[in-house]
Amino acid sequence: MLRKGKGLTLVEIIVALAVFAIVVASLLPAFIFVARLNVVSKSGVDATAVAQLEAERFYAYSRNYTYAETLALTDVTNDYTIVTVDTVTTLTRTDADVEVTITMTNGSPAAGMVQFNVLVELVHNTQNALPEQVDTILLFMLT
Amino acid sequence: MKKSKGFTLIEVIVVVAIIGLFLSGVFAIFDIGVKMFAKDQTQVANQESIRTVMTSIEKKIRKANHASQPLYENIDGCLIIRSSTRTDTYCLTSGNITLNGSAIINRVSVFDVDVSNSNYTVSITISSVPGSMRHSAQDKEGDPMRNLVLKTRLNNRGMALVTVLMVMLVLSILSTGVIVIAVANFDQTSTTVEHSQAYYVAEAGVNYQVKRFENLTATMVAADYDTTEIIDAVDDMIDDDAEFGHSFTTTGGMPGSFNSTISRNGNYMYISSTGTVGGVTRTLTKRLRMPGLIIDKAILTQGYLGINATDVFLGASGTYGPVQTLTAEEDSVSIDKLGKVSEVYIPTPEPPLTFVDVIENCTMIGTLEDMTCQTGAYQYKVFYDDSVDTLPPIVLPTVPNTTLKLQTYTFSGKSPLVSSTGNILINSTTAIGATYDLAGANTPDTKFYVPSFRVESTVADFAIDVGNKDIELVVDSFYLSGEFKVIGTGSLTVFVDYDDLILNCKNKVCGVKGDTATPTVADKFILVVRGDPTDEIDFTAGQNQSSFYLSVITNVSMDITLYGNGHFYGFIATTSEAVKLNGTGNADPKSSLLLYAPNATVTVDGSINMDGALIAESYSSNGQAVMRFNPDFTSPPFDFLDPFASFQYEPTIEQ
Repeated sequence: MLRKGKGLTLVEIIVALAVFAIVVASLLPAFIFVARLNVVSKSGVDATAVAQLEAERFYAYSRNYTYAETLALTDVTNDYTIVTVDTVTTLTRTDADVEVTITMTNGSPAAGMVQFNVLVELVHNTQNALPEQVDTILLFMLT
Repeated sequence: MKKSKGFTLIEVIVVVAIIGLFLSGVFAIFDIGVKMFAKDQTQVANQESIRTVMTSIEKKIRKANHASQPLYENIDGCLIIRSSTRTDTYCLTSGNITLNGSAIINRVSVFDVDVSNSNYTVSITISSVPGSMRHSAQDKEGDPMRNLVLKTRLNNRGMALVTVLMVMLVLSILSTGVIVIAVANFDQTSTTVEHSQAYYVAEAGVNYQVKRFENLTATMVAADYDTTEIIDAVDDMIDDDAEFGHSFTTTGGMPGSFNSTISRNGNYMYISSTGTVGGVTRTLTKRLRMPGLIIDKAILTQGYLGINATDVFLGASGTYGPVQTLTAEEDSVSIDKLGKVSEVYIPTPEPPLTFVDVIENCTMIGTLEDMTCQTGAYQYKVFYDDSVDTLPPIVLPTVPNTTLKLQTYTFSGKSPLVSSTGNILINSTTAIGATYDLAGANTPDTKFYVPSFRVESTVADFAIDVGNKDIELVVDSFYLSGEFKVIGTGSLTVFVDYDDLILNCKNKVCGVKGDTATPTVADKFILVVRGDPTDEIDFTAGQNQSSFYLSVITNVSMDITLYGNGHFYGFIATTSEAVKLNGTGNADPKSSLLLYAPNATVTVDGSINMDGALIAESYSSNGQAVMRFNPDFTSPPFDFLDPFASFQYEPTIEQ
């Protein structure tokens, strides 16, 4: 049929072009989705690494210093903004890429324990990635 | 085709041109797809290898502890981590990160170590070689596909729709593949993130149990509870856990939780915690050793256990006198052997064994698991306590260095108890029924030098009040030949050299008997005796209810001879290698004695009657010992035996 209808070839191409365009158009959002997914993945890993870094830093503090000493030390050595309300101390810091919020609750969930939470949010969060966090309980030196 | 030749040529040129255009577009998209695929793969692989090395370094850093600082060092770009047992070196060598010389991951371009020992931080940056895998993937997969595409174009002239459909098919498959990989990559990233979060949540569970345990024991130790009571409370806490479980949901809004448990086996506490975040769980365990000794046995030996056929050992609920067959386990808690089977006495430490090798004159009944042996009419159970591998060493207290004298103290119409030279004299001319307030009169001091401390005879109802203080007296000479009282919640410790100690206690009650005959009286008065290990203190108590009421901590040997109704009431700890228990002190009241002699061979001769516990390197009997474990035994006044004095935490291990 194609061989006989010589004039049809151009039409055929136009139809083919249209079909192709539709298919490519339908695939485009999928590619955009994939691209975004990759950005979210990367930021998730990066943010967790930052959260983990903070968790390890405070773990090390807890093995060598008391809770009070740690807060004093953090005040001196890092660029945190420290706010203490009752037993809850919140440390915040903004880097070029991330905003770090550390919440420490002294005496929670029981006496002598410090509930420790790090929340890491992206500063330029174009893909609406969720903040990453690390939650644990630290036991600081007593004296 | 033949009818319209010229037309067909133009048509063909146009078609070829358009198809060419399409295909170049398609190829561009295809190429992006292939590159994305390769990039994703590289990223995932690189993430994985970096995570491997980071976890490895992290674990080493956490374990870093070494007497010689610094713990971490950056030497020529290599990270050195020191622990008490080893030194680990991580380096970047020609694209590989090496641990102590062997490569653990490759394709690394940056290994940047920033060490701050003062701040206890080590910052490590690891970067993979960018795109190294992408190139190889493209070379392998890209070229054959390009050939295929070229072939298609040349052989199918005019088949535009078919070509486009085919291209679309390829494109769709490829797109689907790219999307699937990207989603898988995202999933893996999420898992990586959750894996890390779950670790910290699990660790929260470990720390939670550690602190609960520490809180409970610290409160009870501060309130002066006995070891047995603290152990009971710990076991209650464990039972409660088994019933209710413990879970904790994080406050930060993360849907994570841990479930952790604590259990006890002898001197070991085991903590297990499972953290769950999303679909990922991680389990951590930690072991905690209580270095003291949980004394719950009549006899503990590390080595030889030689029991005579006439010896009688009874459990907590046993009665005195000859016992035939003991059936209930509690009734037959009789002999406990510490640690592993000694190979000196048992050639092959594999059941079944003949217990004749271990316990003289005793025939093994059943296999090693039964641990029952028979000597004459008696059956014994032998328990192997694997939770204690070594007996805690005795630490002799340091003699306080002081020249402070005691306040002089005179009772009306009597001779002074403390003379102007600081000597103490207790005899019949000292006040009867009076109390010397040692704590109050000498506030706030607790350590004194006393040239001479003499208890010459028993003074009825005379007491030394130590209040809540632990008073320490360094004496040049100590003479004991009578009974006095020490009252208050504190204690009185006397430090004396072996050569300056005189015990004259035959046919007398010596020490601090107190109002009630309970062994707690003995932790009020402690004698610290130092001498040559070959010296031997002779504790001999004879007839007429004569006995000793005191605790002794020493490095010299002991010969305790108890005749008739004579008995010993107290705690003894000695680092020496020999302790003798002799005599016929088998009548009531019984001796209530905790003898702690981890280096000594204890030899028993005669028919001693004891209510307490005997802990020794080895035990050998030649007589008829009657020994019953006393479950009401209160905590010994020696810190080295206190399981709650300090804890040794072993590193957290991931299961």
